[in-house]
Amino acid sequence: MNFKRIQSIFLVIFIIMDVLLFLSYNRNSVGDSTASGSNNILEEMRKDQITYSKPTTKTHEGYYFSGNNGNTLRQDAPELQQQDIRFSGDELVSEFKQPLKLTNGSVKQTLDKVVADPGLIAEGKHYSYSEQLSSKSEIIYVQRVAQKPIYSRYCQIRFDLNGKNQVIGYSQNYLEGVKMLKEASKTISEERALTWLYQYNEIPNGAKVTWVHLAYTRLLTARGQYVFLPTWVFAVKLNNSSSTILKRVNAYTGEVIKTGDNNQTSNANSEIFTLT
Amino acid sequence: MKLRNLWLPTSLVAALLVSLGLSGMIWTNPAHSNLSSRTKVTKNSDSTSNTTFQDIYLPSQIISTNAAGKQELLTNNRVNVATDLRNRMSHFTAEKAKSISRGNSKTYLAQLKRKGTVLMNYNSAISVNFFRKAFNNQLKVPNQKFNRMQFLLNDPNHLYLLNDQGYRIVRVTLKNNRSDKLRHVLADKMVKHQVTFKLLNGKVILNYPHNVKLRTYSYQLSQQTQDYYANRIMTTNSNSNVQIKRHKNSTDYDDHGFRHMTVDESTDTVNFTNYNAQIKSNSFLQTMNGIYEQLVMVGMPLDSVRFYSYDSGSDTAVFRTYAGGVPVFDQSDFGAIQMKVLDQSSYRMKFSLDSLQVPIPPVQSSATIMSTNELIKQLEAAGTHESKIQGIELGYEWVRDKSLPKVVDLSPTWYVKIGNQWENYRKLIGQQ
Repeated sequence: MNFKRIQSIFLVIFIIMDVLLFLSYNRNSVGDSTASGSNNILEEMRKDQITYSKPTTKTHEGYYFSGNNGNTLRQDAPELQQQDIRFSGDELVSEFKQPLKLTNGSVKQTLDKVVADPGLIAEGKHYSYSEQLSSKSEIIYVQRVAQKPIYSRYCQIRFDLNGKNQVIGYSQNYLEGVKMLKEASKTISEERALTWLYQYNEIPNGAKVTWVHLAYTRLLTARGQYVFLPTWVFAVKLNNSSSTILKRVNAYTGEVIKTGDNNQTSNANSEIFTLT
Repeated sequence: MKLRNLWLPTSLVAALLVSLGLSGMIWTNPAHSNLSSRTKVTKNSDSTSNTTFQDIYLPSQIISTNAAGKQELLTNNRVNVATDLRNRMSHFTAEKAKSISRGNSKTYLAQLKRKGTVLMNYNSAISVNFFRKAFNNQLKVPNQKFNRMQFLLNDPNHLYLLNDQGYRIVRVTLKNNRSDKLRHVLADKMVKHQVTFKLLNGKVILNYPHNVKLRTYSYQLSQQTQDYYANRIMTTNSNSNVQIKRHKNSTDYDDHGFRHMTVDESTDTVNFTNYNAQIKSNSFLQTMNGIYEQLVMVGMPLDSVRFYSYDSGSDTAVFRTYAGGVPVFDQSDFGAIQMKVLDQSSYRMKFSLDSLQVPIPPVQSSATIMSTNELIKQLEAAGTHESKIQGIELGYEWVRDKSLPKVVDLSPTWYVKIGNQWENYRKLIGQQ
C-alpha cells in the first residue's frame, strides 16, 4: 500500500516534469524559428497578405557589360521593305504600309516570323518575345545578351497594336558594341532577392508579386556607354489597383536599385518601358 | 485484477521515459544550446557576403605547358579560369605520395617546364588539408606544404606537389581522376600570354619574353562609411560603451575591452585590433579559416578580393583585389586587407574603406607593357642591380581617374619586390 502511494506520487511528479519539459522545448523552438532564416521572412510576408509564388533558391551567373545605341539601325534601314521609316534620336520608328493582322493565340508565332525576316526588322535575330512586358496595346520584343534578356527601353522592339488587333508599326532600339566588363560572377537567388525587397519595405501589404525574372537592366551611363548588370525584376501589383510596378534588385548585392534622374523611386517602369 | 495492479508501474515507467526523451531532445538539439545560437547569428549577419572560403582562397595563377613545351599564362575575359578549373576538376582521391627531389634547383626548374601539364600556383605555401577544403577534393596524403600543383594532361594517375622553398617535388598517385575534364577547360577560348619560368637570385619568377598586352579596367569606387564598421565591429559587447576620440586626420574607437579601431581619414584605411578571437592554431587550414571568418565578421565587400600571400615568419596574410586574374597593387600600402595574427586569440587587421564593385568602360581597352628582360635592363640602367630583386610580378596600378569623380582606373604595370616591399618599377627607375 505504501509502495503504491510512493509510485503514484512519483507518477504525478514525472507528469508535471514532462509538461514543463515539453513547454520549454516548445518555447525554445518557437523562439528559434522567429530568429533566423529567410523562411520566416517569407512567413512574415504571408502574414502581411502578400501573394507570391514559391521563389527558387538557385543561384545563377551573370556579367557586367556595356554598350550603346549606335549607327547599326541607320545602316540597316535601307534594307527594310513595306514600311515608312524615320529616326527619333537613335530610335527607329516605322509604320507598316499594310497593317499586319494578328489572330489571338498566334501573336508570338506571327511576330516571330516578322522579327526573323531581315527585310522587315533589322537585327531581328538578337530579339525575343517577352510575354510579361507586352500588353494589349503593345507587343514587346527584348534584346538578349549572354542567354539572358535585357529589360531596357534602350534595346527593345515595340509593336503598336490598333483596336482591331492589327500591328500598325513599331519602334526599335538596338544595343551595339557589347563588351563584357568583368568575368562572370555568381548572383543571389530569387528567394534572397525577394526577402531583401520585402525587408526594404518595397512590397506593401496586400500586394501581389505577379512575376519575377532574372534580366539585365541598366545601372548607369559612363563614358557614353550604358552599363548593364543582372537584376531580379519583380512585378508588383498593388492592392486595389490595376497597375503593375516593376522593381529591381541588384542580383550581385541584393540592393534595391532606384530609378530616375534623381534616383528617387524604386519604380523601374520608366527604365524598362518608354512611357508616353 | 492484475491489470489494475500493473497500470501504476507502467504509466510511471512511461512518464519516466517521456521525460528522459524530452531532456535528451533539449540537450542534443543544437538549436537550443547557447553556443550554436551564437554561430547562427553570425551566419545570418554574413548574408551580405557572397564570397565563400573556396572563392577567396583560389590559386593566383594558372599556367599551361603544351606538348611542344610552350608555356602560357591563362586568363579569360568571360569566366574566372581558376574558379572554372576548380569547379570542373574531377573529384579524385589520393593516398600515396613520394618525394622525388629536393634542394636541386635544376631538376625543379625542369619540372616546372614539363611538357603537357597544367600548373596552379599560389604565392605562398599552402597545406594539403587546406587544398582539400579549398578544392573540395580528397587528397589524403601526409600533410605537407607546397605552393604549386602540377596536373599531367596525358597521365591522370599522377599529380605533382611543388614547393619553391627547398625546391621540393612530391609525386602523388591519384585514383578516379579524369584528365579530359581538365582538357575541356583548357579548350575554352582564353587570353594567353607566353611565359617561361626562370630562377632569379634563387627565386622562381615568371618571365615574359615578349611585350604583354593586357586589358585595362575602370571601376566605380565604392566607399564604405566608418559608421558601418563602427556599428558592425565595435558594438558587440553590449555592456561597454565605445569611446570615440577624434583627431585631426583619424578617429579612434575603443570598447574598453577587447576591440580597438582607428580610421585614418587621409588614406581611408582602417586599423582594427581584436583581442578576443579564436584565430590561430597549429594548423594552416584552421588559421586560414579563422582569418576568413574574421573577414566575414568585419563585413567588408569581398567580391573581387582574393588571398595573395601568407608569411609564416610574421604570421601575416595579405589579400588583394583582383582584376581578370591579376592582382591590384597601390590600393593602399598593404593591399586590400592585411591580417597580422598576434597570438592565439588576437589579431590586427588593416583594410581599405575603398572597394571596386561596378566596372565601367575604360578609356582605352588595353595597354602594352615591356618584357621582363627589358624591365631588368632598365632597372639595371637606373642603378637597381639584379641581385637586389626579390621578385617581379605583373600587377594593376590603382589610379584615381582625373576626369570622372569616384572612378579608379586599373592599368597594367610591373611591380618589383625590393627590401621586402613591392614597388612600381617606374618609381625605381625614377619616373615617379
